[in-house]
Amino acid sequence: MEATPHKIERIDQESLDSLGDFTLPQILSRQAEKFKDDKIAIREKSYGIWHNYTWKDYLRYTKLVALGLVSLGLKRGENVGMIVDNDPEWLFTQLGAQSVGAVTLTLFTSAVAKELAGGLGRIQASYVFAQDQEQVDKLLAVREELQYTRHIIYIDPTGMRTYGDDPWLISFSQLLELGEELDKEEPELFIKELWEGNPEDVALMLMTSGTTGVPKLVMLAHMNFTDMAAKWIQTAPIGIEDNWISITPTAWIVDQMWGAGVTLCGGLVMNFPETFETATEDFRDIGPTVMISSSRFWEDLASKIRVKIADASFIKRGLYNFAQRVGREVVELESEGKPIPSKLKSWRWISHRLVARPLLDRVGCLNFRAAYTGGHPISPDVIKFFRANGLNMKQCYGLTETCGIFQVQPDHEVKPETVGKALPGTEVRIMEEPGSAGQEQVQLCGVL
Amino acid sequence: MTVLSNMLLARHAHCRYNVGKAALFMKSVKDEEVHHRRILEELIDFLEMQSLRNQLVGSLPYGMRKRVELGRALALEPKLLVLDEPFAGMTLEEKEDMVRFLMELNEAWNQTMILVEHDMSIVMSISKRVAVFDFGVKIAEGSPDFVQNHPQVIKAYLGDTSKIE
Repeated sequence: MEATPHKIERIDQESLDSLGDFTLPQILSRQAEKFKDDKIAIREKSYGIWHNYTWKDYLRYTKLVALGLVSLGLKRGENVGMIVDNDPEWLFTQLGAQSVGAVTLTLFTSAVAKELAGGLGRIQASYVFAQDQEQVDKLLAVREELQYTRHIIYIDPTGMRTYGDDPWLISFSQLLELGEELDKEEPELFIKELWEGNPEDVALMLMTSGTTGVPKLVMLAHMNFTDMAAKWIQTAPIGIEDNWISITPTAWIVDQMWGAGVTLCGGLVMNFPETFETATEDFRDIGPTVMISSSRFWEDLASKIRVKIADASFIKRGLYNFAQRVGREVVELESEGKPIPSKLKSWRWISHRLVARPLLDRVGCLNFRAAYTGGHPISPDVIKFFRANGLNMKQCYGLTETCGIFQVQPDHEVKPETVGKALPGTEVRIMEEPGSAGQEQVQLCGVL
Repeated sequence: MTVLSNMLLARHAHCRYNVGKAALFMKSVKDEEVHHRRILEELIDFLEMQSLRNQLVGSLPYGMRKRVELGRALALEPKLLVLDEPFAGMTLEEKEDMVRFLMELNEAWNQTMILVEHDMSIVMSISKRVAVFDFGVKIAEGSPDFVQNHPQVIKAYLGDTSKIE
């Protein structure tokens, strides 16, 4: 594992400024032209090893999915449903469908059959991508309600032999073959379809969390994503080939915003863990440079560390307590904006090397330039705990409706009790209505 | 011993190199090790044990240990897999998982199996041919339907109905 995070290699200003002129698949094709096979776009762990996909591979699979769908009969403007896990196939499918003008809707893999039928019925999905046998079974159970769906495409073929004769079901590899055939017949078709896309078109739909009522469908355009990505690339400490690990569900805005938005536009590497259960192990393998997770994840991690420390030897515990004291003192001074005395600085230097850095390495957090928490209120104590150990942890705030996170604490002004400032070009107003709590209004490029 | 090293043990039967070659870290030895590991990884993927790879077998719950044992047996690449009461002491969910693996093994991997088991619902639902023994003597053999209706089987397992009258 690297001792220090490498230098940030930012994408050039010209590409950054022009992001808004393209759709997401168009950006993919531009990235593939620029990075070719030199840079890794996606990493996936399978059979215990990390496998790489370069930007050219990424584009190739996306193209095959796109042409496969066209060959099945997908038309511009139709909708595609997706019930998929965190796998490269998710990105190939999503961008593939978008590149031929279809709109995707990702649903939770944990949803029950009725929920899936409801969601897919609302968008009248022409094709549905299902992760595995489990999802296919759910869809077969509500087949009568899915009369708009022409085909189900399953990604993982395990256990699917017995369904072999059902023409409604198609495997992902069959889809790729269809794509390959069509590509041979009409080599120009993909490029033509790709550049017909308009950045103002709807790219994908997501369900809101439904905390204040029935879940609503949110339509997000390509420009929403590119705009959000450009803001993050400008403000967050991220650059080309930095690592993002995809562990939140694909039906959530966080991974959509990063997987479909920021990693694609900023040339980051998208990492997919082997299974849901191995995520923590794989997390340590990768040592991501940036991460956004729910507050529960961080609270859980903090309590795990504390429990382990309580079990540690007398000397380790003593050192840890010393490092905590020093760290907290520094954090207090920093958040008040006061200068740190040089004696304390040298103590911090020692405690970081002796305690905090090995500790962060153990939990896979050493390479973090920034760690974000959001979703629910987090205890300020947890934030102070991580900051005292030298982790640049911040709170942020966002909504599905706004295409992700728009409020972030800037690097040097972290107040543990706030959710930070709005990203550049974002305006946040609180609507005061008599007798009700303040309602928020957000002004973003193209949203609300 | 971890799950991985436990399963690697079974690969000794297929080892082609000797101690001398291994001590010299020869390329052929390394290649062979990679080959063995690949076979194990396929089994781990098949048995859905990715998260257990580096865990101690002794620390795993009972059903999982059985799964590791199945994995180790498969790592031998047997022509015939003999399973002696693989479902004993398992919870319903663990049994269902095991049945799923055995079915897949049989149908997709073409693994021939002999299953010795007295959980009748499992035996009758997954077997192609069933042989019934009574005190070491084979009393019937055939399809599950045939065996279930065989008078001698009913007599041996449920008792002689003629005596009741």
